[in-house]
Amino acid sequence: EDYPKLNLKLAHFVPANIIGSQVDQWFADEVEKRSGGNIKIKIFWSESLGKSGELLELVRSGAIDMAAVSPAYFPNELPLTGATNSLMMQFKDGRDALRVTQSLVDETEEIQEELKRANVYPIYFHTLNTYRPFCTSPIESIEDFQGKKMRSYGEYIPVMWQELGATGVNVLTNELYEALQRGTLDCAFYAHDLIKATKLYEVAKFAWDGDNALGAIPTWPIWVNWNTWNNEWPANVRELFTTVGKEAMARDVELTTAAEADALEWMVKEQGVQIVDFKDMDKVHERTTDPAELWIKKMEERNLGDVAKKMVAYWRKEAPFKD
Amino acid sequence: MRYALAWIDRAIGLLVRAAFTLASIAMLAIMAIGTIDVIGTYLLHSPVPAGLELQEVLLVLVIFLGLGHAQSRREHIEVDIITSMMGVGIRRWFELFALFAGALAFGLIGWRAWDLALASWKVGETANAVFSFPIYPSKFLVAAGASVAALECMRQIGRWFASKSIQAPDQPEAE
Amino acid sequence: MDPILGGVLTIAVMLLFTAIGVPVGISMAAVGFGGMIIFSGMPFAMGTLMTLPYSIGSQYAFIVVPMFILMGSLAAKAGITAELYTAAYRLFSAVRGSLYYATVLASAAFGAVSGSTVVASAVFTRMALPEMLRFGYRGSIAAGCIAAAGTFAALIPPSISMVIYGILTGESIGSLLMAGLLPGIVTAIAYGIGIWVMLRIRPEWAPQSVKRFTAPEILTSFRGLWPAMILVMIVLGGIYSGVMPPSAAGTIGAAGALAIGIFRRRLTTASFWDALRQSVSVTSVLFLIIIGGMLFTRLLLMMGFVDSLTELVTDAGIHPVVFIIAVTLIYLVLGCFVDTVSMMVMTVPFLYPIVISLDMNPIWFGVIVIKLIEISAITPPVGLNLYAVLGSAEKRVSAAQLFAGVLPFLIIEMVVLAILFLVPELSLWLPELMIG
Ligand code: NA
Ligand code: NA
Repeated sequence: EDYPKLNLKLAHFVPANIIGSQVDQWFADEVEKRSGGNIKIKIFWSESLGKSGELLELVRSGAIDMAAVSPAYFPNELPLTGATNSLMMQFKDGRDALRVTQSLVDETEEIQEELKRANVYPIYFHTLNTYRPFCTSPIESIEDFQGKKMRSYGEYIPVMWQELGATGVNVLTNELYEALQRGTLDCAFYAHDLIKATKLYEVAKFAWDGDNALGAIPTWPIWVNWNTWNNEWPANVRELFTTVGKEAMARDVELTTAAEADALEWMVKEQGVQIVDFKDMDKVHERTTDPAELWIKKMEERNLGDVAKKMVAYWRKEAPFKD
Repeated sequence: MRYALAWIDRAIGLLVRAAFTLASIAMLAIMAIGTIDVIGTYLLHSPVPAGLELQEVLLVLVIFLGLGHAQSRREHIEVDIITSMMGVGIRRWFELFALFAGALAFGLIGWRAWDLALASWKVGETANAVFSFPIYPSKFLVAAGASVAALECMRQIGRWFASKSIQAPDQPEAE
Repeated sequence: MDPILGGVLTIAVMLLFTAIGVPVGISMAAVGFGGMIIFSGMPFAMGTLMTLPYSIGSQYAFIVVPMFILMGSLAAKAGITAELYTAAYRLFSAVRGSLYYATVLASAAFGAVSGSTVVASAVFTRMALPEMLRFGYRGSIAAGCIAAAGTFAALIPPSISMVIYGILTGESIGSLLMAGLLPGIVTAIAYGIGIWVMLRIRPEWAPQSVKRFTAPEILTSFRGLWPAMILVMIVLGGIYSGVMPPSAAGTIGAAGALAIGIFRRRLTTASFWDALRQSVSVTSVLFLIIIGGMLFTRLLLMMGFVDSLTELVTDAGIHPVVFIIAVTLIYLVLGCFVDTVSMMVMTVPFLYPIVISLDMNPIWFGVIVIKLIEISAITPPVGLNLYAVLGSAEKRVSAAQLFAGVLPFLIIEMVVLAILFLVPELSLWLPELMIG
């Protein structure tokens, strides 16, 4: 088949060494191979070609060809697309989070309009495993949350910690390790494989597991310019990207979900991490407002209340968080 | 004509000082919010809502609203190894070149920042935090700060052609 | 165009602009933007110029920079630093060059508080330089000493650079932080010895000890030290006890200096506003360079200069020694244009696999990398720490003076680099002891 010669630059917001990044490298290699070397994608890791907050603008203005960044960074431009990416306690695993997000984006007319307006198109998404507190002292009961300093960011997570009696603390990613070591933070808040990747098990030893979880979230897609995608690239290029993208997404979910159990097992066996027997998951649900409700309220202010309700109803039915 | 020029000279001087006063207030606010945030978080278990995001916005104001003042006092760092070896005549031409480069660079940054501010204003950009305050005013102020710095360069170009000292007249010397 | 050739040309134009007196930040921004138009096209140039300045200027990680500057200004206005240096001067007054030693010692101590070397350089320029000039020290050497001693902060934990290296490579951050401690102390000791040797050769670079102080006089001057002690306690104690993260230490330090000044009735309203204004100016000046540097970095990255240069050098040699020399060359060149953090982000992902394949210890390589990027930050004509000093010096020294004054310390640094390379145990002993 005849592919046009394309030298594409992809600005990535995280380092090359995490699972999703390796999937993106595979995607780039595979596209080059299957296009007979005509389409080359060079990836610039770790925000080197643009800080996270810049990447949407850089893609939609045509400054760069592709970007990898979470939609939750842009709640004003992508309020609907970024919803599943910003709300905790919605999905029990990465598989659900990814499946629901991709079908919402594919099938919700309002999301398509939002993407068109923002002039960006997501080729395929990635996922993360469920987030859990990972602490320097065990949280065994709901009372143990009292006064704990929990890693926090954004709009919804501080509310959740407050409702549980803890304090949300904004700590830079670079400083997480020292913050846990010195007690500036009592708990990190990550998926097990990310705890392993960031070495936080060296300074925090108490993990939750099993049903004690605060929800998986989907994460970054590979963004391209909407106009370029729809009006400039020939159909065979779009097809190639879509096909390889689907395979990449399948790889991502396999590798990511497999990494969760592996990471925990390794941390327990090799690093002395202990699994805490937390008994009050019901109380956690009782005390916290479902972030989806907060989000619906927020969307109502933007006259997006109806579609927000429709989306939440969809994922509650398709992928219930609690069985 | 001369009066008009003198008036423009003074007006730009006032703009520079106004921007700088705002920058100083922003600096003070960073210290205040940061301090209250630490005390609130670690003693009272209650951080300043959106404390981190507020400090970020204030920092960008300090940087850009202070640019014009630094330019007016010629504080932006220059490497003077080669120019210091040259004659006064040629040095003066280099000085003019540097002022044009400054006006161009600050002007371009201001213009692009203006577009950034407009885009932010159009979507009503708010901070991604518990207390979601509007972001776009800070983006307009960044555009304003860079533009004031560009104007200050132009004022200095005017003084260059009038063969006057480029240093702002009413600025006290650093101790 | 070949990326190497294009990169060299762009760099040459930027240096030319700088040489004829265009401010460094403006040179980098203007040439960076022009280069983007030529090499990466109009949309990239326009888009980047739109998003980069605001984005870089609103990073929370940078809040410590203006706050440590403000802390230094307030401390100076409140007389805290003058007392510190008076005490050091009296204590070491019998020794020629006592304030050099005092600066080295104080920088090492400050390195245990600050993770950022730019901050250390800026703070010590405000604290130490006026005092050294007041006591008749050679301005160029004094400024060079401050710029060079500022780099201690990157090896002595806490260190933002070490954490970033750890995240980029997946190496243990705890081990890395430990690994930097001894090399940091070794550097400080080497500075002490180096300064002693330097003053044997060039005694005129420091004033003759004019007056010997009596024990009571020295002790009296110690009484003036308590405000400085309290300030260090607040900042150091706050970080190490976990009351606040290092990024918040700046604000607390600034507020602490303000409180001490008010409590001692040394700080008038006028001098307070003065300190505030000075800090705003220095902040603007520094960030214009940081933003210009980031624009320039993006250009070099986008045009493939960094990749090609790394490839070129790594293809050439296989032996670890050759590799380290090659890395040294890369960093010395890049260090002229790129801030330390960006430099690591750009190069470590390429270099780390080579390090592993050469069977070198990655923790030890981390120490070498940090040392190298810090050396590059004080290598004239362009280096972030040099500009931090110039920006804070308020024209007390010129660029030419500083560039000359930093040379003796670069010689010391090269010796230390050789020691760290030849004796990996210096870097590895502590982490192995602590973590096993
Ligand atoms: Na340090
Ligand atoms: Na350098």
